[in-house]
Amino acid sequence: MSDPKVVGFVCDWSVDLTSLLDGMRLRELPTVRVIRVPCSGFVRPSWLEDALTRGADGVFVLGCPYGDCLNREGNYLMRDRVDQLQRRLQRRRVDPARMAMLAHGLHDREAFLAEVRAFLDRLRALAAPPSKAAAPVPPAAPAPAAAAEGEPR
Amino acid sequence: MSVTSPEPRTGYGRLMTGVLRGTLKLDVLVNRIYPSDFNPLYYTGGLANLFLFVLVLSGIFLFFYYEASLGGAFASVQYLTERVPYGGIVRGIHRYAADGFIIAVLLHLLRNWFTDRYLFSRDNPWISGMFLLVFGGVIGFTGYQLVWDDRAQALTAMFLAMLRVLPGGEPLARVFVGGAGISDGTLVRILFLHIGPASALYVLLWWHYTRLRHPKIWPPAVWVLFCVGVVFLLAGVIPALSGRPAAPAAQPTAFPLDVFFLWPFWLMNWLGAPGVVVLLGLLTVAGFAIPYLGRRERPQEMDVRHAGVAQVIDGNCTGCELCYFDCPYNAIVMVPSPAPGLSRAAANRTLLAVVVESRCVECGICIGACPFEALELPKFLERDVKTRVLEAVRA
Amino acid sequence: MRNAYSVGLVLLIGLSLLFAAGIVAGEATDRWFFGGALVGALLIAYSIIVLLLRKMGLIGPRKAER
Repeated sequence: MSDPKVVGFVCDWSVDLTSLLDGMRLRELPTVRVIRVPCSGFVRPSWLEDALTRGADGVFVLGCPYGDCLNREGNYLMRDRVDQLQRRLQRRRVDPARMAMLAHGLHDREAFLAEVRAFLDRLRALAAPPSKAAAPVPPAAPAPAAAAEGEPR
Repeated sequence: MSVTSPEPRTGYGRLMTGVLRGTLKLDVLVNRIYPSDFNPLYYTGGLANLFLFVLVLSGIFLFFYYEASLGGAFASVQYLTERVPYGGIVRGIHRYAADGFIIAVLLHLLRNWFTDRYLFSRDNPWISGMFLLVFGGVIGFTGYQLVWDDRAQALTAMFLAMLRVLPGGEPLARVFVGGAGISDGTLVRILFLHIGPASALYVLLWWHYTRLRHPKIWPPAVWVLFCVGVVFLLAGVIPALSGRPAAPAAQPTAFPLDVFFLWPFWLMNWLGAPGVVVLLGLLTVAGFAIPYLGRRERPQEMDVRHAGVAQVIDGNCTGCELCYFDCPYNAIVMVPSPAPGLSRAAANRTLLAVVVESRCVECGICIGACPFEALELPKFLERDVKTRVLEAVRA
Repeated sequence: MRNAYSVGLVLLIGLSLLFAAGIVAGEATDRWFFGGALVGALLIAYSIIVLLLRKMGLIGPRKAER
């Protein structure tokens, strides 16, 4: 089985990924794709859910270390939103291990890579993701089943 | 990807980026000893507030014993130091907490400068913070005058020389002294110039906090204990003492220097009064100008971090207040919804969110909070995010 | 590592008791600067005790950050 596909929303003020990125991918872990955001608190939980239904095996948000968010509270707010999303999706049989909140500072590259590797390992151990389990069509097509309940689009 | 890329093109930008990296490296080192919720570098403002609190309490005690007159000032301070139980300790606490205050404020200033925490509408707390620093410096100086020993006398003479350099300086000096020569009235004025601005510090602090949600006013317990402890220890081991009583005939040429408050007077040895006045003026102007002239990155280099002030999409807003509660800068206010509204959401709401653009720092936290897509950053829209997600998943 | 912390904790608790006794002695003999300095030393010892307890896991993160 190939490496799990992971989408990460990375705060531009947090860890320094300058030499680790090749366009959107992490050079060392090419199945991890990074989207830069102005603050970890900018991320809407529905985007995380969207990434999962559109074919990602896992999704994470990376913010500054707790206590040092440039915008003071963004990482705490995002942590709470990710917790809430994990519980909401668990009721729909999506494993909460597919979502993660990370917190690393400018110099914490190694710790960040180690945590992402651990995240990938946890994903490998899980069953097939919701988008692949819901429909027999190729994973790139957005699966309506997981998105049917109540969530705006 | 981050705050240090792309490589800044100006020498100043490269210098400040290096300083930013160094400042955050210090965090890494401190976090090895202290868990991050105890890291004092995350609470520099709170530390300053702690020292201010200690100053106010010890100051009230000192005020009860102080006599503002030429004859009584020195004697009352001596009485307090030598005859009142723990009086000398409280005096020492007042002096060392003042130094601690200045150190904490400078740490706070440097950290917020070097980590870009003055951008966009955060220039407002920077300005109030500069006022706090300047007021603090003046209050400390008047404190040294109140003791009315030979050092205070020398300082007063030097201060009057500095005043006279300014345009309108002679009348100013006369107002300060309260007449032609130093008298009891002078000390009353100095006492006012000590306590009045100290009270004004709390008004300035209100201004400093008003644009922040949940300001970190109090440091963690470890640091409260440690800082109060250090201040007591210093007060006991190196007592704060007066010099010789001030006398009109005395011409003191040297005195012990508290570098944090009295450094301008030390520099007068080389620069003279006009030089020091000009230097103080330049430093003050430079300090106030940092948010406007001291930017590390040009706007184009900031990319997603400069995506425009948040905009409310009126048609989608339901007045749920989630963005209002999440904004760390109190930049969103809820107003009564203007009737009747063009959409279902507008027709059914009682409140409408409005972004106060002068307070928005373009962080986007409100976008993350809103379940109804009623907020957007103009240069990084929902659909831009969706495109990126598709790109990430398809690749 | 935990043993080192426990040793440090016991040491500091002992020192704190000593400092507290010293404060009382200073008060009794009117040596206020001595007493005051010991108040400071005691508070510093307390701050290190709190830090050690936190590193040993006996007390948790600040409420705001849980």
